[in-house]
Amino acid sequence: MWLILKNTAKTAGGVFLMVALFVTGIFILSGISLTKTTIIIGGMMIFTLPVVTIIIREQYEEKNKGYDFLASLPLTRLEITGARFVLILAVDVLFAACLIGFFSLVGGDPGRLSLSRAFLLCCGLGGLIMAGLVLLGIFGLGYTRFLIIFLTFFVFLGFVPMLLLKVFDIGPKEIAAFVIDKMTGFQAIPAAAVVLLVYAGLFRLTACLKME
Amino acid sequence: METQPVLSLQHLEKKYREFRLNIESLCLERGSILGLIGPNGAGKTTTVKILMNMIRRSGGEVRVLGLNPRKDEKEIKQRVGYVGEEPAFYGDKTVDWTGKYVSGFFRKWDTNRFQELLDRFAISRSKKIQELSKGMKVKLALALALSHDAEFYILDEPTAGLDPIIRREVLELLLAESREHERSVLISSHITDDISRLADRIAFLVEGRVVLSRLKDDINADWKKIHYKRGALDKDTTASLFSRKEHAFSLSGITNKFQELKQKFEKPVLDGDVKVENVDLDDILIALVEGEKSCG
Repeated sequence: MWLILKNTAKTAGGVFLMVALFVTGIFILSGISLTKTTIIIGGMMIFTLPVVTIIIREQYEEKNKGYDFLASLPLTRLEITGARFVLILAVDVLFAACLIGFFSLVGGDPGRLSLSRAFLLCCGLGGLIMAGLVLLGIFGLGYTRFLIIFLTFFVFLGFVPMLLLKVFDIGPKEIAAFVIDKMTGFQAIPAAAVVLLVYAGLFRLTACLKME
Repeated sequence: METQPVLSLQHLEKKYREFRLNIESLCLERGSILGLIGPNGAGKTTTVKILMNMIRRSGGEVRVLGLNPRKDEKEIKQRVGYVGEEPAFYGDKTVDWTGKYVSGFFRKWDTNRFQELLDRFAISRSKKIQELSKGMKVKLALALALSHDAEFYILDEPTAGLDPIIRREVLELLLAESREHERSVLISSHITDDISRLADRIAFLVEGRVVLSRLKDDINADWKKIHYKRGALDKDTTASLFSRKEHAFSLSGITNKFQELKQKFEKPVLDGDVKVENVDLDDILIALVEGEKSCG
């Protein structure tokens, strides 16, 4: 498994670096302070980084029939799938840790700092579940078919804020208030434990799905 | 000395929506070469993938080197040299990188042997995989399969799409490997010429079933093409022939019981009413496919 991880680390490292540079750029533009924009963008990046890493890597595997190659080597499908899940977990944890560390270094209002930490952690955990679902989808449906479904889903997701605003009169302010309210009482350890359990379950399911 | 067969299949079954693989029994002894012949879609690749645990079987018993592919997948892959139908590699990586990467997974990797095979096949180490032709990729896959001291080679259509020169080279190498190191080989192909050249035992797979599995010499002794004049053979013998054809001045057909019917043929052969010819595997395959179709 270590060899597969080593081979895929390059892709993950490249995406990691790009996203890190983007977030740093946003920070510099906002005067290296904890603003709403930096927190939201940081959270969004933590959420999307694992999924982007998977999509780029899986496209490469699809193009090269990488799984056929790996299946011909002395590896079990549990190890092949496991390497993906471990890589994504590592990327997610590392990026979240870096960002939380960076936010702590920048400092600022303690209330806002604690809120931002909870928000970043929440995004990181959400990103992990999303990444697990993406891997499950790719292994279950195949890369191309899954990508079509995934992108269609995100196009529809784009209409949700508009729908909320039109039908329920819920705007960005109300959403922000709701998020802040939820973040205030956020229990990091139980949430992380639950997410890790779900992630492990998704891994197990994906490993079984990989068989024809 | 191990006497356990390297491959044993009993009641192997794999069900798809529109296809069913159902192999009653198939066995391969140590040091032997088994050729699996069948038309496209007969189930050759499915069988091979089940052996490598790339596909889950629906039922039956499978043993590769005495091990169960489901439980001992890693150990089997350590001890088996596998070449798939279309060898897959990372296109942007070099041959050298691929060799080094693959070597990390095998306990008994022999770098010298790999380098020697690359030289023998004239594969440049610095070339990227995407720059290699299909034949070169097959050669690379073979070089990788032959470099980790495998006890058993499983090759799925390794010569399909290769030119005759490369094909012969590949077959000679496999033959040498089997003879010199007493390695067993399972080679699937629809190119009967390759199987005829290489295998000791041949199994014909038609529509998911092994319809004939015997030693090549026995097949050669029993399967003959008979050209005969009208009335030269009795009704029963004529009815037992496969692929019967009418020609301008004679009839022809294929028998699978030549040794049994030898005496019946002796007189008409002497009289010049019957001519017996060796039959190639292509004709046997066609006869078996036609036989299966006529059986429904």
